[in-house]
Amino acid sequence: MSAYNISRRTFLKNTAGTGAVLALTPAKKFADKLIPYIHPPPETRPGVWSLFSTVCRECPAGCGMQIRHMDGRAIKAEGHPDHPVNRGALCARGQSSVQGLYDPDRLSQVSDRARGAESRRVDWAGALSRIGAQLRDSGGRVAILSDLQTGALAETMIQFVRAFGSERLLSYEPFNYEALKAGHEKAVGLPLIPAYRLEGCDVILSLSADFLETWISPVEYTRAFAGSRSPADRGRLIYAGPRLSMTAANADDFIQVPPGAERWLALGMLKAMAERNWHSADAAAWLPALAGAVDMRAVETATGVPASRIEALARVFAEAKGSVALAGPTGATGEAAVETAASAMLLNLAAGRIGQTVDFSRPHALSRCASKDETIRFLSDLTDKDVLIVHGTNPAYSLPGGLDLVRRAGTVVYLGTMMDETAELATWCLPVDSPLESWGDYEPCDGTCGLMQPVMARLYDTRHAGDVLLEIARRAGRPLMREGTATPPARFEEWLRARWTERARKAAPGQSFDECWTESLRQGGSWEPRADIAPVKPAPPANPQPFVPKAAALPMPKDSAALWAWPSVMLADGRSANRGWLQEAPDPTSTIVWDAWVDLHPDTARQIGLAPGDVAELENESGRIQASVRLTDDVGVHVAAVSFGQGHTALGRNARGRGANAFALLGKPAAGSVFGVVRIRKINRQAELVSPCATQDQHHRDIVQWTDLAAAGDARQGGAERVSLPLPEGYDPKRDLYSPHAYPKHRWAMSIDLDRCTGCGACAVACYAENNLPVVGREQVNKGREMAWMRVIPYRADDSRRLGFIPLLCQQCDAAPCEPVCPVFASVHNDEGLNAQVYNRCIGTRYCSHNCPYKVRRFNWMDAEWAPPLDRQLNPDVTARSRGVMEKCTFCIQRIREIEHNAQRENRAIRDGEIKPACVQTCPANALVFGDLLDPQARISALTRRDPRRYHVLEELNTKPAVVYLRRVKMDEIA
Amino acid sequence: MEKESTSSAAAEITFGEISDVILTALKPPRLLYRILVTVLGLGGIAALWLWVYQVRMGMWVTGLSIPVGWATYITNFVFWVGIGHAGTLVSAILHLVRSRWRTAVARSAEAMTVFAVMTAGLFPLVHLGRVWVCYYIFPYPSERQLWPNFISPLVWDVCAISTYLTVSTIFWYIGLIPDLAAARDRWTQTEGPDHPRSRFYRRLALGWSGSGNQWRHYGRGYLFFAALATPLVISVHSVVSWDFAMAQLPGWHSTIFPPYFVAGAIHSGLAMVLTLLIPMRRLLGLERVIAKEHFDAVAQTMIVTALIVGYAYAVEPFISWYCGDLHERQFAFWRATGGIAPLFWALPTLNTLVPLVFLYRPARRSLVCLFGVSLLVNVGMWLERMVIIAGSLAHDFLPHNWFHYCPTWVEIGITLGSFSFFLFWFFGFTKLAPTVSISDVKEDRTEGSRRYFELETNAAPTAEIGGTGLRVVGVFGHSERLLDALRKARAAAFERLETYSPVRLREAEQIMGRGPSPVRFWTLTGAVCGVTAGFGLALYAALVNSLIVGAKHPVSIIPYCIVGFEGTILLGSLANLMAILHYARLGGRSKLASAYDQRFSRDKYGLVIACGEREIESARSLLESAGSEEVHVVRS
Repeated sequence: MSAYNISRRTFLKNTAGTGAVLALTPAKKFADKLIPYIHPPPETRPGVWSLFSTVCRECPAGCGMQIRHMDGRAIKAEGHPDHPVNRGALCARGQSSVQGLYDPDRLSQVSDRARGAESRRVDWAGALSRIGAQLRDSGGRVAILSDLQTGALAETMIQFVRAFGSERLLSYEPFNYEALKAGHEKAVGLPLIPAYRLEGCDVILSLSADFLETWISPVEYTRAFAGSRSPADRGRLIYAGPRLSMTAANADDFIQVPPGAERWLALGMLKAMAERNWHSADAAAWLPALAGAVDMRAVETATGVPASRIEALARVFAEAKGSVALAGPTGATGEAAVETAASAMLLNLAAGRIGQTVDFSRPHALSRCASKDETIRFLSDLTDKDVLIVHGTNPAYSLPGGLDLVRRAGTVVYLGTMMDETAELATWCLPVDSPLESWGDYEPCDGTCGLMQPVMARLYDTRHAGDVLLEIARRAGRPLMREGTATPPARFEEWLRARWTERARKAAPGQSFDECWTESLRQGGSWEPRADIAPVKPAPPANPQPFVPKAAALPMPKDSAALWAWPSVMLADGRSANRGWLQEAPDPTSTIVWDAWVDLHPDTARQIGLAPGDVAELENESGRIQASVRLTDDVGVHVAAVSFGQGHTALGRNARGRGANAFALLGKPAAGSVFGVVRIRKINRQAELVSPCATQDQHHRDIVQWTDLAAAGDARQGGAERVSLPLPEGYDPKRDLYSPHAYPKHRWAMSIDLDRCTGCGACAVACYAENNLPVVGREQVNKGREMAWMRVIPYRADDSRRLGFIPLLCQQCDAAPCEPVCPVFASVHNDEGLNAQVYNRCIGTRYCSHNCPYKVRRFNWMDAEWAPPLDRQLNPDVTARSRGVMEKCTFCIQRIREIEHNAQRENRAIRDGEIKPACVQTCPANALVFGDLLDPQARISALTRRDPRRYHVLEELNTKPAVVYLRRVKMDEIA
Repeated sequence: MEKESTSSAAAEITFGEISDVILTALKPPRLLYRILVTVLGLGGIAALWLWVYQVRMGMWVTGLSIPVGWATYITNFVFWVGIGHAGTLVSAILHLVRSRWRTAVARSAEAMTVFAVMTAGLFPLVHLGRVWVCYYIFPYPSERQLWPNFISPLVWDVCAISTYLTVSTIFWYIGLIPDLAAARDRWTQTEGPDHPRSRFYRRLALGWSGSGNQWRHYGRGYLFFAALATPLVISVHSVVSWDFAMAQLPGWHSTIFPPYFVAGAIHSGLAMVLTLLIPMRRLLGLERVIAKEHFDAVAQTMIVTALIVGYAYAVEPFISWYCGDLHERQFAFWRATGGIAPLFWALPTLNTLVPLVFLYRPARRSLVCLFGVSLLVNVGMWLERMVIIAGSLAHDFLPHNWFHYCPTWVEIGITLGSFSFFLFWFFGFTKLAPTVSISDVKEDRTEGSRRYFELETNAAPTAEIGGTGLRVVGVFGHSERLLDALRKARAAAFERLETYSPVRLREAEQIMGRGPSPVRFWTLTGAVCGVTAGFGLALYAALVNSLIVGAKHPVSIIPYCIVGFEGTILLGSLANLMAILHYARLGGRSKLASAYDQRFSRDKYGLVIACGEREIESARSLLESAGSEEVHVVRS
């Protein structure tokens, strides 16, 4: 007891000392607010999820989002189940929007950088006053270059430029689909991007249109495309293009043609349709004339496809119940791209698809984007007296020569969230709210109007772009007013409400505005019924001549190749390149991470003297880039394919100085080409490309399995082949040493339809977002230390032109090999069948990983760092694991528990489909189904027990996985 | 190379010379030795620093990855455990089969075992992701009521390695006791009783006097130790091999692993014995006790182990082909032709073909050749473990996971540090304890020349005598004379007798007629308690945890056999040790009997007759008539 025998003196000394230490050291730990509200709003309950609807502004597709929000923080983005565009799904970029919100490199300070001077921090009032004063004094020479906006913000911008006596407002998107618009104008007289209705298509012909990745509205199209992949009524995707893109890898027929030859293929098909009379009645007026102008031998030469196959394609296309031809590629502006778009639309027209699968009555908002020429003209007109306001777009990066063009303006005011290349040029950098902090609305096509609301309090001292414009105008003495209103609104939010009041009055005259507004906020917008809109009639072409290209192929010098720039499903136009989740997400087909590279055919590379890992320099009139070379026959000979999105010189720590910027090569392409031609030169440097996948060769191990359509539909054949279920009924005394054990309440399981899975990787990124997975960086990925709990692996079929994407996550085996080898019971089986991992118990022997045949466990090699404020995105329901522990997927056990808790509280059973792990929730293709095997009515029960396509990966190991895969369907190619 | 002593010369060496040669090696070291030991110690400290760095930073400082989560560290672990096999093999198994060549090499091989297992035991800690909670793996009652998983091979490993370290340390120390007494007596004689060395050896010798009674319990106990250690040797590397064979990874999942690993372990252990002993013998001047024929015997044993290992190399690809499993076949093919092929082909070359030069007698007799081959086998056996561990992990079921491995400077540094650590202890050992077993070598010299005979006596067993009283002490120069005197003393009805000898005299024990030592009873009791405790612990833990892993029942009896087995050996050995210490009156406070003479630990034998004043003369004359060199009377 002597240890406790403290004298009064000692006690007082110790107390005083401790007190002094506590008083004098800054209490850093307590400074950060755990819950941002001192008095939380009554509807915010601590520790309970709430959902806020908004619109995803990562691309112009305009998907609806729900942001999962807890304790004052937006944690996770999910697709809004009611939104007509995406119906609950979200792509990888949409998933990463919260990472954009918490980007540690986000602009947080107003800064003033007079040309040539150091950047200075200023306050909002001063900055806005000075900009306003300059506009007032300079006679109001103002121009606005904005990303694609519709609705209230677009109105504000129009009013702003008008207030200063100007019409100079331009919607600029790097991918403006101008070739599509020009082609459609040429073909049917409508310079629009129509709505494509892929739901009703049993044949989709894609002419280099990567509609599953980035093309116009990929989530919408993926959902529709996946819908056509039921074995009972399976559609067909035909892809013609020079590169095996992710979309092409999903095609049943991938026809590799040289760049620009897609249009020849379409013309050949048109000719066949004309000759065989496979066209609609209306087409008789114009089609024969066109067919007469097409020489089938020229078609064969250009495409390398025999006439008989073209004919067969034409027949399939024409005789389908519903078919559509889509034209790409994204980002192309060349003459050939325009002709491709035109001939694709003629195919649609000839087959009578306009009004059926192609709907010009609801053109996409992208139709409003300016073309590249218009943008260049717009910027070239600037003088040093002009004030150029750039909003949310980055022409200095994505427009060849954009850097100099933007500099022409005397004053550049940048409204954005990131210090990108354009922001670095700006005189005034005004940090605006991220889309997730903003009010707003966005209408991707007529009648689908999404409503945005702030999903959390502002992180920094930022303002809404609309408010900034209103304030500048006010300070310049020209307050803005919405047309039809009497008083200038104080804030942008009022403008938005005024606009929605008008909408509500029109849409539902009886309802009160408040009801309409609340309802719209809840469902994330409002959608009108389709009948309101009158169909648009296309004008068939009068003269067929302009559609037939002059030369079949461009002469190609030996050291040159046709450039083929393609946007990756992760980075697209590069605006989100600073997000670790997207940089670390492998490219679906090449699985390369954190880089941009050049794909060359081995023959082409040999000619130039390039080996894998060599750095090549690509050069044309508009610029030059350097990137590592990958040799693959995924691209045709004399094609150099480079992805967009990398090669930033600014934007942030993850994006800067990484890879190459393909936009630099996209000047005015040579006549008759898609992207033009580049000269390739070997650089005396090596740079390794990093990928988390060692190989795509299956080594005959049948990891991804294919089946033919007949077998897929034949329940008897598939039914005979048994899988050992992770249930007592899967017990076989001949094979199992231990007697079965029953699950008392649930046995969670998942099925993954490989025929639906397009490989987009949204599930993997959603898993990063939901489960606090750290981003480890390029170096560590190269050392085999990426932390993805779920990976989508592209495996090649024997013919190597077919990819099978297999999402691999923990298989939650019944006889899990990982469990018994753990010395400390950190890996245990729970009574709902999950392989639970007890992080606090784990001592890090890594034996569980060694014994896992699927290698889906991840070891924490280092303490993860979340640069503030990225740490605020961490899901409070999921532990952030420390270094030295093994971690893994548990079917988002936190979500299972949440629903179980709710169901118990409401005294009801859990509904089938109610629990959605993050990957299941976001899958645009609906390939993943989750549920309870003990519920005989559940979808998962039917799929696991009866689907003829079901199989287990490595079934022979008798691990009895709870993840059942449905075989990919191999259709006979059209010959 | 200087002309070496021949085996016949070694056989002619006297008891006194044996003591001199072996104990002279313990003379204060030269400067070079001190520098070397300092450098080795610093090397160990540097490795410790690297380890702290690794713990601080996380495992990314290694070259490990998913899938290659084990490589250098676990290779080192298996390598050092393997090295640790030769010592116990030599002392235990060869003791049981009474192989004569063991005596020269056993002691240093045992020391090597202890230090190698100590070194090996560090690596499971070094490889852990969270070493600060490593105690979760030990069975201890925690407030969470969570026990380790006795189904996991890693827990078997913990049981096996800790048992092995305990038993081999005890075994080594028990064997040292008579020699420590010899060292004690020598330093007391030359430097006086207060010299630090004298105190050191006196403390460690636990009061050993070489009395007949001590030899009786000691000899019995040592035999049981050998009997317990023999299955342990076989089991430890089998358990280590199950770390791999229990997994289903191609390249690991194999039933031949236990014998393959045990043979490999002994192979590498014997190679390490050669690596260490050849220079040691030279530097410490032990040529007269460690003869070339001993190395010859080690080399011959290595031929056997090399052939077993070679057989395993041949069987592995055969099974891979014969089983028809695609993964196994592709794996075997990749190992022979892929990027790992140079390492893979080095294994049969270094571990089987190279040691086969020992088929030629001159190769077994050439120290250069022996040393060179031993080094190559060491390298080969290290690589073998690396190929098995990292190679198999790098090429598993799903091709997209295939990966490679390259150690970082942290791993290389810690590996080199482990060699420093091991050599530091071994060097320290060579200057602090007799590197060759003095009593064993002496016994070895006598055993061959003497015949066993049955004593026809129905006399009652002699009583043990205490430390004080009137004693007549006869000093003899030869064991035969002592035995003669003993027989006469018994015939003259002296019942209170004790002998002192530098070696165990089984005949003397027979003549004294004290019967078998009760040590055996306690050893059995300990072993029975051990098996019960092992199974009991595993069963209790399983019932408390009641967790399902791998669809097995919470209680799985078969894996618990390993825990039961280790418990048997551990508690049996500890009980055996306690019984020896108790019956032989060994311990911290034991004082030497007043009749003890320091010459008895060197080359003299003593017969002590406890008697009354009146019998002094008759005892004296009896001893003198039996050929005693010196008779004196001790009163205390």
